Amino acid sequence: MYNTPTRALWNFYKDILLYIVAFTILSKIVFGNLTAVLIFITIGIFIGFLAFYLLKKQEFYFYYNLGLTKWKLFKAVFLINLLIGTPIVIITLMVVTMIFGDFKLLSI
Amino acid sequence: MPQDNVKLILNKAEKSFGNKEVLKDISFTCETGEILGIFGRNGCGKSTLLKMIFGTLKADHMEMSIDGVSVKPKNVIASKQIAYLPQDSFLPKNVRVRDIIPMYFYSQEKQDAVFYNPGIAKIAAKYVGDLSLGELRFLEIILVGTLDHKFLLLDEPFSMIEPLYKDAIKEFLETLKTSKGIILTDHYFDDVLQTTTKNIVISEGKSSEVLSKEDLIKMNYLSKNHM
Repeated sequence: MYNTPTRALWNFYKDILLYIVAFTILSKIVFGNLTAVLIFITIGIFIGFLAFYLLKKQEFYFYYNLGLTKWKLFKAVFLINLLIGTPIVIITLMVVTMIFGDFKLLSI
Repeated sequence: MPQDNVKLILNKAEKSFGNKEVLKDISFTCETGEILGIFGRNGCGKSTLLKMIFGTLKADHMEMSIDGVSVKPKNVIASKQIAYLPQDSFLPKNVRVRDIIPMYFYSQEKQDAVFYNPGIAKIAAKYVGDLSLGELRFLEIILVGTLDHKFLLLDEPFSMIEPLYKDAIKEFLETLKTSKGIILTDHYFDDVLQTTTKNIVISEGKSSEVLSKEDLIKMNYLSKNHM
């Protein structure tokens, strides 16, 4: 990992995590916990990327200068999300469920 | 010149947007130890050209090689041979300057070189979003310039910068020149001419060599009043 700009990757992940989590919470309200977790791991990342592209497009150059292409960023985010983000979001959804109950607007 | 100079050769760069041919035939060379200035009127394609070289904008046609090895634009970012300062600020705004530096450099030596730069030390505790335009531009140039990349593309490094920062930037580029090839474009032509070792102008989509300020007048970039 010596040549991998891990601090910069972590910063990128933190930036797009906000959008992913917001979308996941919305998914939890509409579809329920299980679907929300699946969305967090899969299309949540695309949503996060899209939001970053729309709101902070210029900041991609920060990462490009470190040799991080969009594809490399995507792979890194997917990995971090899977290993670190998923347990966190499961715990968060459990806490939300304990407080507000297991509700969803749609049954899938 | 030292024997280990690295040369970037760009040939026949072309780009159209719809029916408008912006760049028809741009060619130049730049090697480590040189600073190449690119002049051109608004909309002539200077920034477009830099983006094409960096690989973030697809060229219609472009041949590029570094040290004799052909480089495909799509591989430029991953190869870490060319760093790029875009026209607009690219640093994350919600991070302190002192936290940005270790994101860009692994070695303590490089981190110290940036931290202890007099222009950076006084802003280290500030958030990037709170920096003045001059402070921000200076920080960005120091960051991309200190990377190990052999070539550096600078899009408007002097624009809207106060004189003290301009001088510091020129001094920094002068020291960088010993180990890098630098390609820069800016409308502040006096600052560019003071900094560069050679120049070209883009006019009607084609590049021509500029040897003096008179050439810029002949090529309709400057009016005679500027003499």
